Amino acid sequence: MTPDTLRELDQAMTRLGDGDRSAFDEVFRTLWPRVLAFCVHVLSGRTGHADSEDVAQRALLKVFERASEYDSSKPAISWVLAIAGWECRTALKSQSRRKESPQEAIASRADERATPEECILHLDFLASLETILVELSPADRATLATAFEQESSESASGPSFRKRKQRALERLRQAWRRAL
Amino acid sequence: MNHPDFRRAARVAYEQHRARSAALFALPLLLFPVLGCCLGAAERTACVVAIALLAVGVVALWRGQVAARALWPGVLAGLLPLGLALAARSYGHACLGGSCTSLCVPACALGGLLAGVAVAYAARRSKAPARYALVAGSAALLVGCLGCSCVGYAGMLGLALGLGVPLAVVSAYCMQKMPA
Repeated sequence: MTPDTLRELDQAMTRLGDGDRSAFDEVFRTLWPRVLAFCVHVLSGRTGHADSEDVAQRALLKVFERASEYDSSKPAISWVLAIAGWECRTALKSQSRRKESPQEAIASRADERATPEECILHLDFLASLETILVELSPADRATLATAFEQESSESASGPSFRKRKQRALERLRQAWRRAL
Repeated sequence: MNHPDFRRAARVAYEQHRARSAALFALPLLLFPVLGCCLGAAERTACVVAIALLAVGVVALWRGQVAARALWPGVLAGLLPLGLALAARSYGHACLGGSCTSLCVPACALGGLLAGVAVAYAARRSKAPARYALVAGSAALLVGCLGCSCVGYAGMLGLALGLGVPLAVVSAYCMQKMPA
């Protein structure tokens, strides 16, 4: 997401929170693919794509329900992803509760990448990362988001982008150390 | 859930939550009719005002934007005629020569005029003056009615006239300024 997109999302979210219905479509169009990608990424290997989509839909419904509670002084994307992260965590917890017999749990664990504890730790890590990302400038956040989304593509591998990415990562490390 | 259905569900969730919040935040408006009853307003009038005030409050807060911002200034403006009417009632009658007359109607008209001027001034600075004047004027009229019912419909008529004049002037001024 570019800084402009982030700024436009913040403004649209503020307008929607204030009751401007004309901002609804813009917010929906911007958020849906991001929330879906986030949920698919967080839940990958633990649930199917359809389940991830269900979780993403639940998360976005919560976002629209709570739109009037959005604090316009904070970045909208962090707020939205925090809600989506919480929904993912809830989905993982309810999934682990659904496992009825130990045999079933063992059988399903054989295909999973991590234990439930590791999943929770991973989600805790993501939640902390979101909190720290709020401290960075919109330009740094956009650079890190681009680097994250296009990790393997050629389009984001220019020297100026690498430099920006390096600086953004350095600031992220500093923010992380401060948080610790 | 497919995409259009989900978009509709998100919109419904947004509207439902706004309506619930509006109903909750409009509840304190009921204190004014209760206060009016305690200070001597007719119970029937207070009940009618309570229902109307709650309806105006819920709709204004649910719609949001200018309507929501106009509600509480309107209620505060309505305290002017309410206060003046209560003061006139406690003063009693003014006697000149052999005839005595109630001060309630002039107090209501004066209070309405002051409230109208205050609402008109605030409406002129708003982005949507007509909507602001409508919501704030309705709220001021309803709160003022609690005090101005002291002499029946004459007091309410005086209040409505006093309130309506400045609002009509501002509406005419804004319509004149609007591009053709």
